[in-house]
Amino acid sequence: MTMGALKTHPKVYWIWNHRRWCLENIPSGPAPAGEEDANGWKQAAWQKDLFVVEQMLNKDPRNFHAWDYRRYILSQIPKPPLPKTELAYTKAKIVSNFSNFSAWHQRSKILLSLWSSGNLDESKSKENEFKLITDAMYTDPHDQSVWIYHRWLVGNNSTRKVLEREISVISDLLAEQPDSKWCLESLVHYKRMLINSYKDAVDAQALTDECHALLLQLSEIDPMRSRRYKDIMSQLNNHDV
Amino acid sequence: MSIATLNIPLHVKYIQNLGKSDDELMYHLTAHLRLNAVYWGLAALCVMGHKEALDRGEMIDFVMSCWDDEAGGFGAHPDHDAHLLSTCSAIQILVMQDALDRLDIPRVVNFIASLQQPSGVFAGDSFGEIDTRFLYCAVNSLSLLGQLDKMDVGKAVEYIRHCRNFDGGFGSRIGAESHAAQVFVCVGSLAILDRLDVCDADTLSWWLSERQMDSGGLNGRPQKLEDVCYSFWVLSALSILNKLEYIDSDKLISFILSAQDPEGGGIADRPGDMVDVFHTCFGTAGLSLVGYPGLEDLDPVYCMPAKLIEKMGLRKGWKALERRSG
Amino acid sequence: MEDTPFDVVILGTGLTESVVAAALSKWGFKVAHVDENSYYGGNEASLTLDEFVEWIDTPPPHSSKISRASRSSEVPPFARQYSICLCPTIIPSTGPFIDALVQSGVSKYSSFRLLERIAVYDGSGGLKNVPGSKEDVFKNQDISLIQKRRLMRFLTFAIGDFEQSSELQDKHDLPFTVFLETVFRLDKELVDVITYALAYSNKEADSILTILHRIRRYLRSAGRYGPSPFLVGHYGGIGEITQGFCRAAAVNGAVYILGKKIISINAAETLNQSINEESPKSDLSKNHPQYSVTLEDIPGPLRTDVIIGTNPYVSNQFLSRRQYSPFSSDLKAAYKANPIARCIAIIESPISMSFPSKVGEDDNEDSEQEENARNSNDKVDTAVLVLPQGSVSGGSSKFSAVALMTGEGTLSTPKGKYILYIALPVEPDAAVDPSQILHPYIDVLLKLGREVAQEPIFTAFYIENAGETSPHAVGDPQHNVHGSWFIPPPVPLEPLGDIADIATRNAENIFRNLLDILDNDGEHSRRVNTLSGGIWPQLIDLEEEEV
Repeated sequence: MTMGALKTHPKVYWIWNHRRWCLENIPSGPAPAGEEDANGWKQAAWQKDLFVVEQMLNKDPRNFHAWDYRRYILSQIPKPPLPKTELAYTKAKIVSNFSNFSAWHQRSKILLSLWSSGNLDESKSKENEFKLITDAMYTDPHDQSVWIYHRWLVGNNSTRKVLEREISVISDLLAEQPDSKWCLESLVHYKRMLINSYKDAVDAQALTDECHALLLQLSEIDPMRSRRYKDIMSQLNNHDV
Repeated sequence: MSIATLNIPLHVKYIQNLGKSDDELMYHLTAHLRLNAVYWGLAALCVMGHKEALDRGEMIDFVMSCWDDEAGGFGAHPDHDAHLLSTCSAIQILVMQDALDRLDIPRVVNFIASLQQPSGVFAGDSFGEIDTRFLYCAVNSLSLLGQLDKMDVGKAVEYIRHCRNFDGGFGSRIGAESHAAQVFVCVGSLAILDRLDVCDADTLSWWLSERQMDSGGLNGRPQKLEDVCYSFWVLSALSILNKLEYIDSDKLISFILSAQDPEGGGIADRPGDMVDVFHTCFGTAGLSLVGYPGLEDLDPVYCMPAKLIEKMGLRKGWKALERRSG
Repeated sequence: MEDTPFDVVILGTGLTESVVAAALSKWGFKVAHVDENSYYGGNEASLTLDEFVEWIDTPPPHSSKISRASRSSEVPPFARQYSICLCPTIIPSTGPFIDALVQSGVSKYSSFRLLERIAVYDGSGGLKNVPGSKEDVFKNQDISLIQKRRLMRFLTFAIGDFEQSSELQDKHDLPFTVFLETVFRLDKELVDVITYALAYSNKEADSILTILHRIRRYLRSAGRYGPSPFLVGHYGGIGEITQGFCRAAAVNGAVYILGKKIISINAAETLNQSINEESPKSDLSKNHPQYSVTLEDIPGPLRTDVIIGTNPYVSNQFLSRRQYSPFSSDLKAAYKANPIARCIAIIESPISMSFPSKVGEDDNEDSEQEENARNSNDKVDTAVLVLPQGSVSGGSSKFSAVALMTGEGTLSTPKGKYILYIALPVEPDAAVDPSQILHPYIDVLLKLGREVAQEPIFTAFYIENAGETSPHAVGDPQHNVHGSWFIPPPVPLEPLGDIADIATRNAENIFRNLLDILDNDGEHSRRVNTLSGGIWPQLIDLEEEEV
């Protein structure tokens, strides 16, 4: 019943909620409770809703009600699919359109849970993610989804080696695309991280000077946010050695 | 054609006329938002300095006609079941009209508090949908009524903390993608609860500043279209973080003004679209926060007149841009 | 035959003629559409294997289009379940042809499948993807990061309004490949992929703008019906759709006569005298139609003021004075195009489209997904493969060959069978044996992804010439405007993504020129102005409609 309503009003909260309520109140199947079949009945209903949600996401890959609902189903379904299957799903969504930040977001959540459960080797998997995101960033440096995901991947506790490697990857891209705001902005961010986290191992003064130059360039090509760049500049000065 | 100024008389008239066309189809289609719509209209009028344009007595009577005596809360429309969204709007209206004496405060507080879940978040009604929006409604309402002690503040803050994403933003529930409207409700709740330490202010203000598009308008998430309603949600969060100057207010102002309907009044989601009271409210609210001349100050935490909130002793440490002279 | 004259008699049911017929009938003109063949479509027909064998063995009369034909002696079973297209085509999802299809309602009679893959032969037994979109570039593993960035810059440039761009400034005379190398700094490998498999350019003489416009058309077609810019028609493609246009014409009252010989076409005497350049329109009187067309077994001639018909029907008596071509300059180019050596092969396994997987790529989560992707690669039903010049040993060093594969998914073969169309341009006067020059290509294609090359169960080879004898007397256009025998330009033989659009544009030109001639009483122009819907008169800003 709610299917028709969802097609016409895919963003109305209560329709999604009504579906949720229906699922939770599905009776056990005709087989005696506790037997395999009874759960099979429920499983089929949940499976069907997973399918409905995928249809919705094919139509509008950014519908966050649908993504929320998907996460909900995956957390409640009697026999959940392997977490890696969901990872592959986000990859497929990203490959078909990587401006879809919703899919990157979902991917970050799945990876976190896979890493913490030990189902996926964190350092190896991170390297794969870096490769994926580097491809995306070179393909379209103007897409902010890519840079936000990259920032997540680098995180707050990256090694100096990783930071320096990523700085060099982005610098190469900047050389090819000198007007890329996101390259400039990310370089400032990661260089500041180097300064803050590895003060004694890096040439902080040189990095600070580089940040200054980058921020000046940023103010020029992105004047809407020039106040933010100014703030960062004065923070840099305060942190000076 | 560029519309250089906010046509206040026309928008006031637009809002006055809204209630009169109750034979129109849209009126019935939006019944589930009726009480919210009254709040949006009133808030917009207050910002434009024309609170009196809608009849106070009629408005209070309408609010009271939405009371669901069984549940002890307000529905969106007479005979609708009580819901936290409409209950919050009702309380906001009654506060703005100085009519709290009409309200059965203990019952409504009980209704609100009963919706808090073990996780700390709130459900919208007895059907159990959860969302940080409902948490904000509860926090907002209870603080207006001076009854924050009736909810578990610690748990609510923890829930919000778990909704925080790596981009600094917040989602509708744990695991959900950051969205500017959810950022507003979470940051607003934390501000009311004096727990802004939960925010990653640097990252969040970066994410918020990147909501501004080349058109000057703001979007709600990366790689999405700009929409006037985010003018309030993004700006409110930025002003609570005291970072309003991270966006280009001149460009935003001209974007909002270009979404006005120069004939019938009202503001749309973006230039050329149909206007509605929701975007009219959040468009004028946004203009007020960036200091557009001739408007009243708005409290970004409560989305209510700043003077009123200050008088109630509820003002937090937010900062709007200085009001420009006309 | 009835006595009232026809507004137009159209000879031949090829693609251009059929589109004109549909448009004229739609706008209320009285049309008789005649074909000496017993099937629709002329040179663009889709034939069953039986019919195709007969066509190869005895090409239609009047035709100098086909030469040096040969075929396997054995004809495989279920011959009637094949639809073999004489004019292999892929159709861009936006453009004049698809617009005409949708707006004429012919799309209701026709069905399509999205082209699944486009790949380029790498010269050493493998295939490369053709990156035609942001997503393709993103997932492509053969291109270096810097080249990805440059390729994306080129694609962004090519899909946009590049005419006034700084990149193109003073570069109009560069060869396209040099343009890509110098302005976008793309490496040779990508330049080839773009030139041969994105632009399907086979002529060094193609101007930059010609090629860029073509690329832009294709890029902008992506996403309308799916990720691929191209559609492939069911039941043999363009031939089936041509028949659809005829059906639409018939629904609007056009009279169809197939399989009858044309015995004679006579011009009314009075008209020969009264050709008068000062007041040409007065010559075209309904009471004295210019032409009478006599057909075998049909009582009474078809009388009409205007004939549309390709060259073989134009008997000598009309060649000097009655020819009319609104395209005199284009026409020369059209007739000068290179002939194409064609092979049609029927095979029992699809050409393998799987790409060599990268070592160390598939370690963790994606293995399942990549597995699926590989499987689906192997099951590709509909694909285009480009074999660039010089990539096939023993093949052409001047032209690239293009192969189109269609399988049961296009409803044009029995289960488990695939038709492979290979086309290679050849020099105009070269005495070449098509089976000999195409064999290296067949060997390469049938060996792709296999230990042992598969054997086709049927092959046919022939040379197709650009058009029949070109008109001798195209003469002064000013004079020709008063003519009343329209000769549609030949349907181009390549590139296969442009064929349908060019033919449709030619059809529209003929239609609009006809309006000028037929409209001497103003009756039709009123109709054209007041009626809504239909092809062309409203075509300019019709809303987009889903097929």
